[in-house]
Amino acid sequence: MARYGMVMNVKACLGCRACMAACSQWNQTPFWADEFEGKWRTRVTEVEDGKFPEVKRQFFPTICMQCVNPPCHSVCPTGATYINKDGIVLIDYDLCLGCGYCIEACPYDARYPYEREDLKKDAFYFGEDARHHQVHVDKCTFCVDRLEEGEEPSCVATCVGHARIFGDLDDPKSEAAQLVNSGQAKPLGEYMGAQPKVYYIK
Amino acid sequence: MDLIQQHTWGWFIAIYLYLGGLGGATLALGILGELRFNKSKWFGIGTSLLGLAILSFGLIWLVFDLLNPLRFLLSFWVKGIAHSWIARGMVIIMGAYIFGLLYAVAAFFKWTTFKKWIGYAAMFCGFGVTTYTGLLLNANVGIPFWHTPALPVLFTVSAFSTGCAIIMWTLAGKNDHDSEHLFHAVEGFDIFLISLELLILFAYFDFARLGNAAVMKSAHLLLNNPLFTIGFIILGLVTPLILEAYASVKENSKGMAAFASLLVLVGGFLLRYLIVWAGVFQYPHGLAG
Amino acid sequence: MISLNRRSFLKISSLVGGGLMFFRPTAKAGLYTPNVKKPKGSIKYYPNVCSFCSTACDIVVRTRVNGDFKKPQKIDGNEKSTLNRGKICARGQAGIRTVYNPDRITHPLIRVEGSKRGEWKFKKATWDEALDYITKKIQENKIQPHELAVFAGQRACAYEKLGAFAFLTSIGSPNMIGSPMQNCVMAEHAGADVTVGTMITHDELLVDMDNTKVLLVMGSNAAIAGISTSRAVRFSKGKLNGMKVIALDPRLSETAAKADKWIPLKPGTDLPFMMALLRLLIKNGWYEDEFLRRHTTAPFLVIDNNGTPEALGQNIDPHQFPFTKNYYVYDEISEQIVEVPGFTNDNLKENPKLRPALFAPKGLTYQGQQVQTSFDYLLNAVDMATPAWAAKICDIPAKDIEETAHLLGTIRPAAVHPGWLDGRYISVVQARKAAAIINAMVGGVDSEGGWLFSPEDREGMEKFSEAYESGKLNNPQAMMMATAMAPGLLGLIGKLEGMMYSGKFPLFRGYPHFSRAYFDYRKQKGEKGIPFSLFTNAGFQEAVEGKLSWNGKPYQIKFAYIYSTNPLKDYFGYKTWVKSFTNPNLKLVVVDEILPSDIAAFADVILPDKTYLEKYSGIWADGPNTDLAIRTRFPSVSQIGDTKGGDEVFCMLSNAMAGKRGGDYGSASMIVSQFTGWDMGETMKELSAAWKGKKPLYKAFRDTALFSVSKKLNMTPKQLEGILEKKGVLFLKKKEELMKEAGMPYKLPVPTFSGRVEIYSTIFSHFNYEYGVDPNWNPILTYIPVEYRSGAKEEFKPTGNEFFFAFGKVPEETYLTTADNPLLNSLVTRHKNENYGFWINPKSAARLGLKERDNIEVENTVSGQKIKSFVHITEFVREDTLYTMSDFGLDNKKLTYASGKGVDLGRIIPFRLSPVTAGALSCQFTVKIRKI
Ligand SMILES: Nc1nc2c(c(=O)[nH]1)N[C@H]1C(S)=C(S)[C@@H](COP(=O)(O)OP(=O)(O)OC[C@H]3O[C@@H](n4cnc5c(=O)[nH]c(N)nc54)[C@H](O)[C@@H]3O)O[C@H]1N2
Ligand SMILES: Nc1nc2c(c(=O)[nH]1)N[C@H]1C(S)=C(S)[C@@H](COP(=O)(O)OP(=O)(O)OC[C@H]3O[C@@H](n4cnc5c(=O)[nH]c(N)nc54)[C@H](O)[C@@H]3O)O[C@H]1N2
Ligand code: SF4
Ligand code: SF4
Ligand code: SF4
Ligand code: SF4
Ligand code: SF4
Ligand SMILES: [Mo]
Repeated sequence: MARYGMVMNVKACLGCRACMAACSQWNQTPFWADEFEGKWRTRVTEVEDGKFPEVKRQFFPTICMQCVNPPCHSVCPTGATYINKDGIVLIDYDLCLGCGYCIEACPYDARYPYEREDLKKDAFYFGEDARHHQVHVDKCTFCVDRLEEGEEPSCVATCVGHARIFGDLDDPKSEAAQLVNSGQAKPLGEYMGAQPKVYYIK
Repeated sequence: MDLIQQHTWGWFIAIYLYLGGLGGATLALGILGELRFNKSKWFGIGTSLLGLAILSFGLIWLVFDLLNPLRFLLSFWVKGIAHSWIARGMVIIMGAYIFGLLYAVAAFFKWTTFKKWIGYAAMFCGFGVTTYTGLLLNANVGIPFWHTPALPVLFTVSAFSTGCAIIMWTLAGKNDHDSEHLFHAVEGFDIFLISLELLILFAYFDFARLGNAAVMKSAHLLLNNPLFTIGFIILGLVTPLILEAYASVKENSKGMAAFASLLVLVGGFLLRYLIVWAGVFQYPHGLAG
Repeated sequence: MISLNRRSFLKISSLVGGGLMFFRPTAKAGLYTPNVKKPKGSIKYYPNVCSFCSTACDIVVRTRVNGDFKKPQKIDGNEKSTLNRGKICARGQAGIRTVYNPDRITHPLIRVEGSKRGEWKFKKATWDEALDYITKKIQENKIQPHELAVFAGQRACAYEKLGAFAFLTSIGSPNMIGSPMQNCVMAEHAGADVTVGTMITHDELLVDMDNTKVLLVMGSNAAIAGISTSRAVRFSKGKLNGMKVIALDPRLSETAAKADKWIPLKPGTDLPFMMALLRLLIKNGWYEDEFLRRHTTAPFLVIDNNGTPEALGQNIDPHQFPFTKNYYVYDEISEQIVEVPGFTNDNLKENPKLRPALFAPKGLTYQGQQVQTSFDYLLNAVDMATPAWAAKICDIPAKDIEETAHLLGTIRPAAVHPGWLDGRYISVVQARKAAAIINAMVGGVDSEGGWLFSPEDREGMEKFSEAYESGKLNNPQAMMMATAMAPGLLGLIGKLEGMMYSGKFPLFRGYPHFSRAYFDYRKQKGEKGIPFSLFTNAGFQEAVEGKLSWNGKPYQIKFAYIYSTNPLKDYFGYKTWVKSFTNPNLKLVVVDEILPSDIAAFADVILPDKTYLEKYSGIWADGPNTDLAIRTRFPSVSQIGDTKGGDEVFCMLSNAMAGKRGGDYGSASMIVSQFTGWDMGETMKELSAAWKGKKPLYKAFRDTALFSVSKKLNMTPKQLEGILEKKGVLFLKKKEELMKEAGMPYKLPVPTFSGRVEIYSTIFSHFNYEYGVDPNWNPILTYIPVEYRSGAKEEFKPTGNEFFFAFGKVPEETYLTTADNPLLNSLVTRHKNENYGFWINPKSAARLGLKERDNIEVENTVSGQKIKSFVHITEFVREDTLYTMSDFGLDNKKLTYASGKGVDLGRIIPFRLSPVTAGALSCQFTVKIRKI
């Protein structure tokens, strides 16, 4: 049992989006989708603040916050959304109705539908290695399958800026836990009560 | 704060919410009318079955909105009942079906006492369905405009108002005393409901005025949408209120009242659709996009 | 550690669900369903080297292997690599999407008879048919070796250099055009390159940002945070270690966004900024005095010759290497002028009691001539560059300059990072020279936190200086061979001057690179030659048009082989290039490509290449890594279509050019073995096999390298291959050790012609003799004013709808190579306005009544070129500047993802050659915009 969490150091994020590319290739997420903002398990958003020349440009990486009290979980009618014993919020594709309720309930915009069209594209790009075979709602899994192999999540492993720090929040020696315990890293939108396990240094 | 209008739910869910509320309210009001106003057993059977039919028709839209409609039955796998309003709703809807049908059977065979108790249970479920449609949206914490206790109340009141409209329609053609009596009672009740709805709406928007950016954005979206201001408020609420109030003091005014009910029905749908449409997420700054 | 416990979870839920299990979905099992039917085979990891940009990161490819079948699943950075430290960028991550790009060319294509170049009318062919076609054209037109010009892109430059040189020597053609040489690595870096003797900050030199405390970034983004992974990881680490960053950039780039201070100077004004810094550094004594006296040419005594400085003792024979016996300094102790050796790393080495003066006493003379030190000259040159003067030209507050100087001057370690891609303005050579001088003054050469030399450079320098000191290099032939094998500029000049450009080298049958013939042509028109135009296209047009001659014989290019590059867009001046490639004098155009690129449309024959994941390679050094390490490629993809590696094509073309004899792989082997130190016999054996089509050249290189390198490491080739396959990179020595043992200039000379860090450049001085005196190659420093357009001098402020022009790279794309990658296309299309349009400041937009995404026409006021695009309104750019991204603008309709997106720089930047390096002057103009 672990309590996995992540720290996003916004100050360190270079905006390179290697994380998005890495995630999409490991998890075969619908990078091909061009509706709205596309379908990504992690995004890096650009923020413009101020006026030239006193203007700030920030890159803001986001993923599923792996909430302790996840609204996506409370609304899910079938139990498709569940929390594993390491505190990771996951979706059982077999049980997912695709009602979209969790998409609406998630206050962090972490979920998207993996639709029929996406299944076709998955097969088109990945051939027999395609990993998605049924429609479902999708989101970041902290790369549980990589964790099982003893590897860091795909986005973390490649994060060039050392902006993503992954670890067991219960392990006081982990860098992530230290950043959280020192109070340097704080969750986003705490007032919504979801209790994220992804923390931000801004 | 980054404000993003939700785009996951649209027409289909709005129709479902609307017909769910309408069906639930019809069921509840029909049974109430039959039990309290000693209407004929056919009235009871008719309205309860009508309510269930409307509910079923509504459910179809929900099913079509699923990514995989074939998985619809999974929604009866109510693992989420402890926390999910869709799951709870499914239970309530199941209850409405079971008790509603039993009530109809009891009414047909005139098992009076049984019918009464079953009737109350069915009424409770019908009432539950109307409220549930609001609670369903209410659970989305990321959309502050929905995440307010006023929403289920608003939806419930609106649902009953549309339910009244249906009942009035079923009664409009009947000229017997009981029907007249019930008609006017419902008409009166509806006047009360519409007034209440206006009051809640006023409170709702007043609250939005003082609310956070996302709520304000939602309110703004609605107030700038003629479908809402003219379509829903003027034609769907104020006009039927005036018409019904006028009709209630005039003899032989059922036609006018029936017309008003039609407006109420349209207004009820517009309300669901527009509230769903105007859902605005309030994401922490930097997160959206 | 982790356990999903899916099984037990499902069991429980099915109990709860009871009979409802019956309704479970009919679809196939999902991602986390235990009964998912996995494709056959097992997972293996193959090391490789990313080929998407010149950063050349170490990667590991997770591959599904089933018997002979291999399919890559995921690319990650090699965790064992100290170069990119286990990380790779978005492009590196997207590699598999290029390998399996649905647009890939998988069969040779021959242009349909009667169609025009550029129309894209091709028919599928076999390799034999394609080769027959090429051979027939060569024979019909009697194409001679020097009538072939090879265009090679970044990939060829960074990875296939050896193959390319082997190819050229095997046929005897000196005509290589390297896109990265002209537009990037070599180009305008000249000013900085001559200071430390090697190509700075590109593949040979890396800034030790982990340890830097103050970093001044001059016009650089993609080479750091935006993104070159090996630098980005160091930049990030440095930032976390408290490095202060100051970025000079007219727009808020990714790197500038991470800087502590962003100075949005006016485009093209880096030189005045640097000069003002220099003045403050010198006046305040903010420089490493000891270092400058001992290890640099700053104390060299110079005289004024025709308005340009010349060191006492400088070799003035334009046909000799600029090596010299002695230079002269003023000794503060003996108060005399004393000799110092011509080539050494340390002015004091032979005379430790010497104290070379940085400033000469007033009125010092030598043999009746007024002399001063180079440092005096430098100070004079920047004396007028007050902060107020520079601030006015740069259009920034003077205090920004003062603060920057103070930071750089007072905090150590400090360094300057000039960008890679350049050639934007005429002043850039002197600007980079100034930047490099600043870097030397703050002690940033081969020191902790400064510019670090590559292990290869050190090794080469060790060998060269040994040979030099042994006195064996006193005859010209020996000197030429030795310099040809030397590292950095020393070596490059040797190779080029001696072999490719002299027109005397027997291997090339007395023909030089066509650029040399072009310089003669220029001379007739009263124009100077272009001294640093190494491997550029200077003169290609003229050569095709038949305007050039050599030794009285016409010198024409009739055959263009284009390997992994896109001149139409990369080299700017789209129309000029179209004109050349459609010229009937050009009898044969062969393009080796993986995609239907724009240039491919102009081919007679298109040959389909293999990608990096499909190839073996020789054994290479670990790119710009400062640790000593070796690495190689292992293929992780099964054969796709009917493709052959570009290396194999080299052998085929070589044979086709040579006719019945077959290509001269003997000469090729000689060159290869001299470049690499590989065993000559083994090289010959392997190359012979490659030329006879018995094994691909890349495999031959691998086997040769294994044979020779393993010997040096005392293991068998099999053992070495095993280690490389397991680790990807084999580390031999850490940078700390290397710096201690072979610090340059602390232990060894740097690869300049004086062996010192050159404030005074010996090679630029040499150019004064060879090409005539010119301020653009002033050996110390001089101010070069920029004229944006006629009448728009350095202090010009655009008004109305006129703007300066600037461009830069996108973190998610590489030049024009990746725009058609489906994944990267999606990443950039997510923020399409920023990537596909022109950035404009809101105030300027308001002035012109422009709204976001309004369509505009952009007109180049100098060349008259016009393009259509749209505006993206952002505070991230100066009010007087229009900025756009450089990685788009492809128009071949066959490119599903890239076609028609973004700005084509080739259509807004004209074809022009800058005076020192034949760079592009790619921003020296203004643009006018109109709403359409
Ligand atoms: N417009 C524009 N011009 C530029 C630059 C820019 O950013 N924009 N950057 C400049 C710089 S810094 C540099 S270093 C140079 C780089 O210049 P080049 O290296 O010439 O870059 P590309 O335009 O990407 O040309 C590469 C071509 O090779 C093809 N290709 C890709 N992979 C392979 C392969 O494995 N085999 C073969 N045979 N072909 C392949 C691509 O499809 C593409 O058409 O360009 C310079 N010119
Ligand atoms: N993502 C990505 N990374 C790459 C590459 C790539 O193609 N894509 N290519 C690699 C290669 S081969 C190269 S050469 C390097 C190139 O890396 P860099 O040399 O860093 O090139 P650019 O990113 O074009 O950065 C140039 C910056 O200079 C700014 N600029 C423009 N005009 C001026 C001016 O007059 N003065 C100043 N001070 N600044 C100015 C631009 O706004 C831009 O931000 O990147 C390497 N890394
Ligand atoms: S879409 Fe799937 S995961 Fe989301 S609430 Fe519905 S059933 Fe649960
Ligand atoms: S971020 Fe959203 S999807 Fe993730 S656990 Fe929290 S509520 Fe659920
Ligand atoms: S943890 Fe894994 S699934 Fe989540 S965003 Fe990162 S790569 Fe994607
Ligand atoms: S990989 Fe890291 S540095 Fe790059 S965009 Fe993602 S979070 Fe930021
Ligand atoms: S920086 Fe990116 S594209 Fe360049 S070599 Fe490294 S991983 Fe490849
Ligand atoms: Mo480059």
